[in-house]
Amino acid sequence: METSDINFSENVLRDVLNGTREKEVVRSEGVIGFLKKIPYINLLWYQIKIYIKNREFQTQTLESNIKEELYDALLQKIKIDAGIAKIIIVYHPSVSLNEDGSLLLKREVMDAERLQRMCEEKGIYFLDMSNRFVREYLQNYKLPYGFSNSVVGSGHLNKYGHAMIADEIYQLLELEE
Amino acid sequence: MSFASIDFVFFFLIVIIGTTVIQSFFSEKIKQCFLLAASYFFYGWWDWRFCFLLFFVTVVSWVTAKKSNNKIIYAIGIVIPLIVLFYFKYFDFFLSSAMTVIGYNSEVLKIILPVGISFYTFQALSYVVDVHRGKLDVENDFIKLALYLSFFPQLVAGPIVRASDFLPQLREERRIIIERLKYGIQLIAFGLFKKIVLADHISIFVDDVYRAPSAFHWTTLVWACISYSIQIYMDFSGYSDIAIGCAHCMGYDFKRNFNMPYLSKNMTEFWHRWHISLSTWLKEYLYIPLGGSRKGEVRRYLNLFLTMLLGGLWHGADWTFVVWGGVNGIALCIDKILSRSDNQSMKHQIVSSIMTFGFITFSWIFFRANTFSIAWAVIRGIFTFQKGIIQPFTWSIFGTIILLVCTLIVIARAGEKDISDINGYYPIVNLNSMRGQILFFVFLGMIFGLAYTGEQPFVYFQF
Repeated sequence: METSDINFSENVLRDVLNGTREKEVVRSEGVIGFLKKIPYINLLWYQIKIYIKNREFQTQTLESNIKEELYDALLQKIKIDAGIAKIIIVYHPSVSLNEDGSLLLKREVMDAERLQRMCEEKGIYFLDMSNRFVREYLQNYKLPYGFSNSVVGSGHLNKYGHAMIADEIYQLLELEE
Repeated sequence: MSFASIDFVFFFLIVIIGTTVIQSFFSEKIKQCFLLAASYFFYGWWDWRFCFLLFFVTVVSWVTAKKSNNKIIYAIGIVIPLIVLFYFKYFDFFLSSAMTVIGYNSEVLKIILPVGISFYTFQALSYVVDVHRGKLDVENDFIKLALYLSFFPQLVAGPIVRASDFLPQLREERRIIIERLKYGIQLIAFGLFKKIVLADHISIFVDDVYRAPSAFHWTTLVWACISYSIQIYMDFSGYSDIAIGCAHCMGYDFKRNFNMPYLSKNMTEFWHRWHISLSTWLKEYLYIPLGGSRKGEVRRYLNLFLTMLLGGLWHGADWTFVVWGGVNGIALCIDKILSRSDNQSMKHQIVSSIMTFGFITFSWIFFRANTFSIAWAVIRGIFTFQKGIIQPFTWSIFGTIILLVCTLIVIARAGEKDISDINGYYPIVNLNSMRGQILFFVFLGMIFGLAYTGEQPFVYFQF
């Protein structure tokens, strides 16, 4: 399993545990989703969204702390669902570049460490990619996200990001054997 | 209201339909009143309070131009728009600079910069000066003068339309006709392609690099500088194309604002091809009144330098813009001092064009960087062969190829031996023919299919 975010809201976690979590709406669904595949229509759609958002200005507060009992239940559920299979949760935090050229990992250190400890207690591997990302950047100037036609270090994992994760998983499995 | 926004699409359609209906049933005067109301609505869409400022500048110009033979009234007509411009655009900047010099680090006033103020104040000034000089008849009809200063296609980011070019058009009957619409729509399409397909995509890369220049490899820094040259050209000339196209649709003609600037063989030629409406304005209302080249060689260079310095400051209230203007001023002086080579072979001309482009690209670093430390980080990174992230941004490659191919086509078709004689043009197709329609709709499809889906304001909106 791979995730770039480990901070889920209480409601989301409860929905998952209760089995009431609805599937994420993807942009390819429905007529609007189809039209939005055309970039210019997507641009206009984006502008309408901003207009509506500005009119109905809402502030959203993000849950910043891990609710241990909920995470514990979630990990337990994952473990049971997986049966005898090995579970590896790959945590690859988002990154950005500071003005001085250093790499900024967008992660809650405390949360990652707590989650790692909880995973270990459940016999789940928790692979935190943070150090590897920093090392690759400092040594080879490689970023795990972004492509040659998009924002540097942002968006989906690129070939370097995938290679780093594959390498770390391989090392973990090798160590295990 | 940006030209690339959905708001503008609806607004422009309503204006075109409204103007067409009015011109069929009512007088030219009513049509101009409608266009004036539409232009104020366009401006007020951003912040309605600043409509009063625009109206105030208009009233001052209208009143003072009528009595511009009187030196005091003429001076008022010049000084008031300048005060307005100074207060809203430069007061904070000079105040904070003065505070820094004397060692205070206090909060500045944070005055809101009204969109397009640099453009309409310059137009107001040119009107009063032209009337005073006897180059232009005074305009007694307030509606016409107000429409000249506020006409929405050129209101927020130019081109700086001269009163002597536009007011005569308002004095005759101008109508929306199918042929004009066909031509104007194609110009708008070209502008949109430049802006939302090329400039906006390239801005992603340029913004990344200028946000953290220390993180990038020196080749990427060079590539980002070249990319910015392409971005700002596509952005600003794209805006000008849309403005010219909109005006053309409504029956009015604006002069071209760009003429293949990166083909220039030297800096003097560059400023004849880049932002033509501003450079001619600066020449006529600043350089020549300062004395131009009439007061000896030394004064000539000083005037040239001062004009470019103020031209830099016109672009933005920041020392980086002043340095950019100064660098261009020095380059222009050197260009005048150095004698022209007689070698006019194509090879020599191409080398000259590449060197000029290189210098322009270098000077844009100060224009683009938000602070001197960023500009210095870019320059230092390039000259110290800095290591870092390599990003061969594909949209920049695409933009460069398009620019090169279009330039080569124009050069080949012009058949001129001297690059300076080559003028850019739009490949306007005949929309009455099937071939023309297919080409146009394929081009529209490209714009729809390749448009940047984020939000990027036009670079020149900030000025």
